[in-house]
Amino acid sequence: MYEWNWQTIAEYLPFVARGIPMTLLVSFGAIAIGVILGVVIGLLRTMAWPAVQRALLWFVELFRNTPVLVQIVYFYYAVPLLLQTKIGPLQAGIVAIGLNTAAYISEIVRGGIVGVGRSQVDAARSLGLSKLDTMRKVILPQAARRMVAPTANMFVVVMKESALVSYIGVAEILHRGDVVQVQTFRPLEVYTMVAVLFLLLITGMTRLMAMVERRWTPVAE
Amino acid sequence: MDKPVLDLAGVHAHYGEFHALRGVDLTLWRGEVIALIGPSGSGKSTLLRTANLLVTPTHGRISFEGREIVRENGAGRSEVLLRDHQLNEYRTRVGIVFQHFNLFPHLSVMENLVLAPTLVLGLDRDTATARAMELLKTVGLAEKADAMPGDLSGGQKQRVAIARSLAMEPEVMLLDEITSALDPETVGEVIRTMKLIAERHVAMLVATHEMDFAREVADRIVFMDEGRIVESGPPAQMLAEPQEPRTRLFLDRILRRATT
Ligand SMILES: Nc1ncnc2c1ncn2[C@@H]1O[C@H](COP(=O)(O)OP(=O)(O)O)[C@@H](O)[C@H]1O
Ligand SMILES: [Mg+2]
Repeated sequence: MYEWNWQTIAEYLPFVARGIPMTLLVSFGAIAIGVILGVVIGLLRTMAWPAVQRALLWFVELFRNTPVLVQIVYFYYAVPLLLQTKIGPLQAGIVAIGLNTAAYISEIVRGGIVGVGRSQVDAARSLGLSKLDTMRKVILPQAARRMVAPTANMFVVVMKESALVSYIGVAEILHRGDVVQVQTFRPLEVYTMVAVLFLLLITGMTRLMAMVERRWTPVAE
Repeated sequence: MDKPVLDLAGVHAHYGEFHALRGVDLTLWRGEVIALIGPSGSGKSTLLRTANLLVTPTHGRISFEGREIVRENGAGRSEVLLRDHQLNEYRTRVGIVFQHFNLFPHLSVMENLVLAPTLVLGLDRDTATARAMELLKTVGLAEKADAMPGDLSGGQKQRVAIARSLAMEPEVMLLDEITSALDPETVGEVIRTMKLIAERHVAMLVATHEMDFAREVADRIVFMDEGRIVESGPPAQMLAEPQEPRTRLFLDRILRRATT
């Protein structure tokens, strides 16, 4: 019979908890890349030349239809060979999850813009607004509100995915748990610790996003 | 009513393969009010959207105030002669009001009226605001200036949409069944507003099912069916003795429905 051992927790919690900043770094790094690139790609997918739109669709499909873990491994082991450089595990992890997030956020952005609807474009254009002013003053302000909830949800997903970088040796929460587990053979205590730390972080994130969502709800005509 | 303000000649429009307008000739004179009637799907909206160039005609010519803005090239296909900014300018002079209002829901009533005059006509904010306030008084909604569109009734929204269009001081107003999405009790207030525009001598092309409006306000009734103009004439004549069987059938149906 396996006996729960509080001693393991007391002894190793500080070590595992020191992964928190790394988990946050990976998460927010990926979110930053995802938001900036996602918005740019999303806008281009509604406005750019057809050839550009097609190329971007390929990018989006590529990242949405392969596992994130495969993308992470690919950026760590394969891409350096293609580029003839070394990429550290932290950078590879952030870039891989960041690009994956960008693919999803670009779809959120595009969907938000398309969802505002043809009739708003007609109204703006019929008043003589240029395409650019129509986008800036009429479509985007409405689209932005539609994007908030799914994007906030995406942030929570990214925080969960950040644990995957443990696979390439980034010392975030899960990876530090693995290290302790190998030394102590106390998987129950160790992974409970890991799970509880993630639970606290992700619950905090979810709460924060719920507040943001309440503040930014779509307007109805 | 001395000069044509908008002149369409042999205008065709397609949605992909679908042939929605099949050779429309229509002249709108300065200050004239035309009631455009016809069954659902006959092409009324398409005609209005083509006049505003939201839909680009495939064949035919359009002139505005004597100047050709859409011509036919050698192959008989339509060509818009306006560059982007000229097209935007043209649209400020030919306003359109839609069945479903299409107000900007994220902007207050006042902001809805001020947006295009400041951005497109280059008015300063104070002037645009003062003019918008005058228009809101005209349509009886001065006290709603700071309301959001979502808080207005259908009739109020439609009056705001009319005011928003008038804020550009257009020569032509295109009204696309602007009362048909409204509750019956608010139709009256919108029709009164339409009469006010007519009194300003703005030329109007009004797609409508409101036969009372057509009879009392229109100078001419134009009946459309299947993408063509079937018949047109002064209201008294059109309503009393339509020449074409299709017109008669349509009027019988719609007038009977109105009285029962
Ligand atoms: N965006 C569109 N795409 C394809 N077909 C359309 C579109 N808009 C209208 N139509 C078709 O064109 C015809 C004329 O439509 P419309 O101009 O809206 O008629 P009305 O306003 O008289 O009801 C209809 O058969 C309609 O189904
Ligand atoms: Mg219609």
